[in-house]
Amino acid sequence: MTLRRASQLLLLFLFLFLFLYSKYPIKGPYTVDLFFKIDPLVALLASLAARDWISDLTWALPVLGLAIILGRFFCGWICPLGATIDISRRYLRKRKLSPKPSRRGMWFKYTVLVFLAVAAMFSVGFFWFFDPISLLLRSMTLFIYPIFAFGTSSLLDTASYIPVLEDPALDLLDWLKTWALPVHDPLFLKSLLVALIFLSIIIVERYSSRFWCRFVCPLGALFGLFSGKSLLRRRVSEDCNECGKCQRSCRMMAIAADPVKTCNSECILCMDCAEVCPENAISYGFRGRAESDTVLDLPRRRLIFSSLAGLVGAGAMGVAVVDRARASRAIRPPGALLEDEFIDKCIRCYACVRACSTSGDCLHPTLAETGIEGLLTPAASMRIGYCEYNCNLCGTVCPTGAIHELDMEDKKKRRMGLADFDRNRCIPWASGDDCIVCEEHCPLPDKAIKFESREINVVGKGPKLVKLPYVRRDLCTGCGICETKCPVKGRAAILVTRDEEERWTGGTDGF
Amino acid sequence: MGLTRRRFIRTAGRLTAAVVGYHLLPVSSLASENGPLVGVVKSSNHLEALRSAVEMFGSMKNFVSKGDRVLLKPNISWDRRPEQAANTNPDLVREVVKMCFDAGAKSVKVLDRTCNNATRCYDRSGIADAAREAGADVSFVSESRFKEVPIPEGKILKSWPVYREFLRADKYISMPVLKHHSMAVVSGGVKNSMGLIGGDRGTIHRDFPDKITDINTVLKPAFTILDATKVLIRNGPQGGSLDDVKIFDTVIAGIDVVAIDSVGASVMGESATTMPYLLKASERGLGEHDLEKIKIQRAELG
Repeated sequence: MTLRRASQLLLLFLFLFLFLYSKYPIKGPYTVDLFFKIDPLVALLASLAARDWISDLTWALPVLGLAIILGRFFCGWICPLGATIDISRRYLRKRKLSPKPSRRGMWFKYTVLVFLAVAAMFSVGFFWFFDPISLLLRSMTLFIYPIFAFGTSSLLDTASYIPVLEDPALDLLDWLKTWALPVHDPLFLKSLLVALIFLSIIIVERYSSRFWCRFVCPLGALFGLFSGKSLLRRRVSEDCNECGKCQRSCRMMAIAADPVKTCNSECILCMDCAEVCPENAISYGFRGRAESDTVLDLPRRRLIFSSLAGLVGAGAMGVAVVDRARASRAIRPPGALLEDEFIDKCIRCYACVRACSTSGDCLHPTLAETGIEGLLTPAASMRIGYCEYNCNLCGTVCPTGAIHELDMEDKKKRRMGLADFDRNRCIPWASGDDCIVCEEHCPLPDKAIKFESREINVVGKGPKLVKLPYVRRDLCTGCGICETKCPVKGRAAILVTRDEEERWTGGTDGF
Repeated sequence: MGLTRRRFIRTAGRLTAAVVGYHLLPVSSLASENGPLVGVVKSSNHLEALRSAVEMFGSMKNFVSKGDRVLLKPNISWDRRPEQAANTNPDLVREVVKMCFDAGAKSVKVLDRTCNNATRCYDRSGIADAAREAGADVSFVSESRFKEVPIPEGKILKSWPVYREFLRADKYISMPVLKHHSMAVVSGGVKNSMGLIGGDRGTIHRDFPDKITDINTVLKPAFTILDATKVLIRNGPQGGSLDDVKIFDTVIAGIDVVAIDSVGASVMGESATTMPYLLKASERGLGEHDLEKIKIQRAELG
């Protein structure tokens, strides 16, 4: 156990702990979005895309500045995705020394960075797709944690049907549900895309170490840009016998053909080479012989090509068609910015989805409902869940302010949309039987669903006195609990749309 | 003499349950000769009111035997604080848990299938903490733990999923909270059983009088304690505004759930005659709604 490994494990556990802790009730700032405070890729590109500096993320800049001194330490010591990748590789790949390493293609991540930066300049954000922290958090929320939760609770539930195991299994499950597992298993539709991407990143480790970090990661590329002349770096003394063991053990293939030379923009300071060197010739410090090499092979054509790709990509978003019917049913979280700004600032980290799944459980991923530019942005599906009246967890955890953190009293008054009856399906209106489950569940102290007791003439049954519900549009906030609880099968008889929604603009009263 | 008869009926009930094959919770028929007894105690000291109401039936030992696994079901349905009176008073819950243990219960499980998010409800109602303080096992309702149970006396519902913890318990004690309910008019003990059933409960609202009676023929509590300390008199069943809460400082207890609800309704100024579900339940023999035929024992403590 080296210091570096300890650091990786510590930060990974911190990530997992904060993830588990990002649920109702959130007390204090200990939520998983804290990790974005040290993510300069998100800080820079989200602010650029939104044309608004995200002050909460200002501390990410000094972290980037540290790379000038410490090199690409973030990737080797801090990044939780990096730690996950390293741990996976340990089990997926037999520990054999790789043959002569090839460093072709490692320039690619720099073109990814250029592509993302250019698109962001045109106010289109693709960077969320490639940001490692956002990617890991998204995968945890939509895929890893649900699988773990579902698996554990299914296992214990099944075990409890064996008579002798009944009590211990159920007691254990109850205890887990109180402290570590979600109360109801969160299963997300549309998580397949995210699951596939995450699994690919892990599975490729079997064939190529730190594939993501070497070829794709734009955050790594960003750190790499600042690390070329780092003060802390790999140093090789005269004792080197050029056996090449270090080259073969380097997971980043950062050591040149001449083992004395290091490519500092690729070295993540894992220090494995120092461990394996039979002559003890390698050390990491501020003094000593060091010669550098580079993979930053970016001829002009590559730069131009990736810039063009960014431009074309951004442009393509502008002409994409939005299905207005479906978009009007994609309700945004309370406190969300205006749609364009929301899509620019949302980094699809799903911290809001994670928090909401422990409360009302309405926020879910979208695919193309809000247009391709809104791909994977979260929106409320009121048939699955609703927005809890006393809750504003989503605004609390959003790292970029795409969802503004509303004051609780304010949140209870603001409209996410409006509910509307479909009288052809609503039980009292359509068949004269009593229901008003919607009215029962409306959380407003002065309910937004009222009813009138009227005698109506029911076809086939004659006159009947029935309680007929209606929406008070001046009171409704569009929380959606009525739609969730409506007992009509299939599409509910009361639907929430984005009608009259209020978005945060930072204006006089904020809206 | 009453003691012997009670024991006989209880043993007969247990034998019947064994024959049928799953737990049918035995109902003590202590008061069936004179019309059902309902205790109504008013006191600003709520715990005193509770104890006094229970004492009208002897003690909790008449309902909970040594070694019993007790299922105590308060109303934890809504994400509301205790002063908003949408859920059962947590202080009363704590005290009843203690009473069950004092009577020799092996375990007391406290749970409810909530309407709002369960974590929020259990926490903000204060009931999870209060029950745990007295040593109860507080757990969330697990969606996979419902078992389809036949309803032999069902008019509309012939079977329905019922929570496994109910089926595993030796005794079921119901602790509803009295409040206004737009559809039902008043929500009390009869409606409390909704928290132990699975499936799409919204459909129960259609033809509610018969359906809720069907459910209650299977979910019969040994004892019911109706919390009328703070009552939501408008905008129920969850309210929100403190203006809708009226202090009644009353605890109502009994074995006949219909009688308790009828008395509870009258305390609120309502009448069973305006409540179709109560009339239907009474008509079908679930209990007695007519206040003239109920033996109401009142007490008001200083």
